[in-house]
Amino acid sequence: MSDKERVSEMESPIEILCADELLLIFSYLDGKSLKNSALVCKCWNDVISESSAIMKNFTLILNDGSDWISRFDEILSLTRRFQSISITLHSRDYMWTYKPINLLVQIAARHGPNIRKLALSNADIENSSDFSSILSCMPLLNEVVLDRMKVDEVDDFTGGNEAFLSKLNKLKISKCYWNIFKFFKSTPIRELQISNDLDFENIQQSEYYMQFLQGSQRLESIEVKSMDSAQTFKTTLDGAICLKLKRLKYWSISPMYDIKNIDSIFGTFLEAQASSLTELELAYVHPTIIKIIFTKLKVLEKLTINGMMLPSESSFYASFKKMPKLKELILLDDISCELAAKEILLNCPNLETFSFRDKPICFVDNILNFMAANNPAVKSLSLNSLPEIISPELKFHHLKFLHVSDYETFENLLQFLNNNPTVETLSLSFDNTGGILDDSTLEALLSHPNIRHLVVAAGYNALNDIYDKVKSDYRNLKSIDLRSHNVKDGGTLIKFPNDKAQWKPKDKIFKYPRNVYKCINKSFDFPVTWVQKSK
Amino acid sequence: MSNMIYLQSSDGDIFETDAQIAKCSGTIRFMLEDCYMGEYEGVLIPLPNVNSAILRKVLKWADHHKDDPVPIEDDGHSVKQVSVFSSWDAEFLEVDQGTLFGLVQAANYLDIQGLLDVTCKTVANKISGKTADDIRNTLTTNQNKFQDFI
Repeated sequence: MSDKERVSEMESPIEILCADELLLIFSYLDGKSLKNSALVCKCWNDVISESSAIMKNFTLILNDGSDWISRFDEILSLTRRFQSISITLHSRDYMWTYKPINLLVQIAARHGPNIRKLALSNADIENSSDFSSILSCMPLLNEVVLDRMKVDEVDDFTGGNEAFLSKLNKLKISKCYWNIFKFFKSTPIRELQISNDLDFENIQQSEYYMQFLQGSQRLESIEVKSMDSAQTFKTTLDGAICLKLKRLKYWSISPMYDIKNIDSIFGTFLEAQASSLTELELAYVHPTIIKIIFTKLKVLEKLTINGMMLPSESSFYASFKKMPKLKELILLDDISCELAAKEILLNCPNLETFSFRDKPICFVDNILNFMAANNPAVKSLSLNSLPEIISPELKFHHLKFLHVSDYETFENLLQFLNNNPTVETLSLSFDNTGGILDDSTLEALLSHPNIRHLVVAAGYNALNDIYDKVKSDYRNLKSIDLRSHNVKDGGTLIKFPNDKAQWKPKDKIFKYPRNVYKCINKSFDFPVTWVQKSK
Repeated sequence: MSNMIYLQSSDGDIFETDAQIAKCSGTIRFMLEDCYMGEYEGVLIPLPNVNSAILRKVLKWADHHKDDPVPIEDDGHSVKQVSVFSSWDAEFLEVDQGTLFGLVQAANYLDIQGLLDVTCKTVANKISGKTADDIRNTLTTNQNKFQDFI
């Protein structure tokens, strides 16, 4: 390293920061300082002028209760206007006092008129009028997210809230007592998400929730994720038949059909939604419900099911009707018999997207051949695995997208692609233990005459290997998308562009440069003594 | 149960640290849990983008914040955050600019949200309320910097 380089490295000037890091810094500036920063140099000007994100949508986030309370004056003196507030009222180890609520009332009074989104967590609101006065400061409030919030029953909240929650659109509730719903009665909410572990504690709580549902005339979408509230779900539906939902997702770990009568009540509810429901997602579905879906829900466009038990007598399916609008079918668990699978597929004549995740279809032979013959409109297939032997009849004439996630060999994959020249996008995923894209298959895919886009999800080492082979020349393909399925936020790590002229290969492609990975592999062999000596 | 691991800086120094502390870094947490599948006692992780001085500071920060509650999930991906930081953090960040920028870079590379927030805010405080000239003077030690004036 030359002397000059060494000096600049030791000084670590602000130029070492990349655009992302600069953006983070700029996001803390008020408008005037931001303007001045844009005049500092061309690089900063580019960063600031290219980012629309930092010019709007600021969120005030106060996470640590004990901390922000002690610095409250500083918070109140912030000149920035916020459109969104996210506050953790009590930190885990913080002795509970009434103070945070009082401070929140002050913050609401100061910033309230601009606030579109409010997220609160970890609080026990003793006096419910405090909560309503916070909400009443926020006339533009569009979205409310409440997590671990408890409202005591001290003062029943009876004031008319129609006026001040008149823009409320979206409500997310997690781990809260159900009486929280009393605040949102008669609001124009369209989307509701609930993930509560707790069931109703008493009849009053369930009444609040039912009154909320009955008063929410505009509700279009309900998503319920719950550990154990089959009972809750049943009770809530009792009073909610007046709803006209477009979207219903009910996700529970406990099978719904364990509860007596629940399916007839839920069935009645589903039937009442028949004219509006376009998207349905259910877990553990009783045959009665499947029957209702396939005889009554005529406008359904997307159906996702995890776990269903279906009879093997053909009489059960006699009343099934064709579902001409159903375009998307996603099955997350095995179908118990071949007859059921075939009956369902036969009644989806216009199916475009079929996805079968997680487990192979063990009970159904040649399901793909059956689909090829009976579901001619299929454009997108996501499968766990392809059949070992691909027969010449296995042709989908409109198939554009194929995803496969389990491989014995790649011969059947290549055969399938030859059979189905319409496939433009191929997505492959490899888990940590599974097979890996070998050189000859990669070569075949790269030079395949029809494949235009390749998506590969795998571990970093495998992705780096692929990247090394294809980064400067990806032959017939228009784009390659390499992504990790290990990372929580997942997603694409690098995408080679459609326009090859713009593509400049890099040495390092991932958030974690490949030399790190090479070293980690070596470190398995480091002699222990060496490590100890060096520390 | 303590689970010690080793981190190697770009200068080759090796730091021993508790895995739980190191896991405040999303990058390291990912490596330990996904690459080593949770069997990481005694492994060595090279961090070629972080030098020893910076890594020492980062570990000090991580140790102090090891019992912090996990921040609540926020769905707004693009929103910018403004968080308030403690007097310990303020004192911790009373460092020369080179170290401060190095910490921003390291926090970003190592994916340590809390450290990234406080370091970025500290830099922002140095910029806030100043004219463009003042900002240039504040952030440069010799006049060769910021040559790309507009």
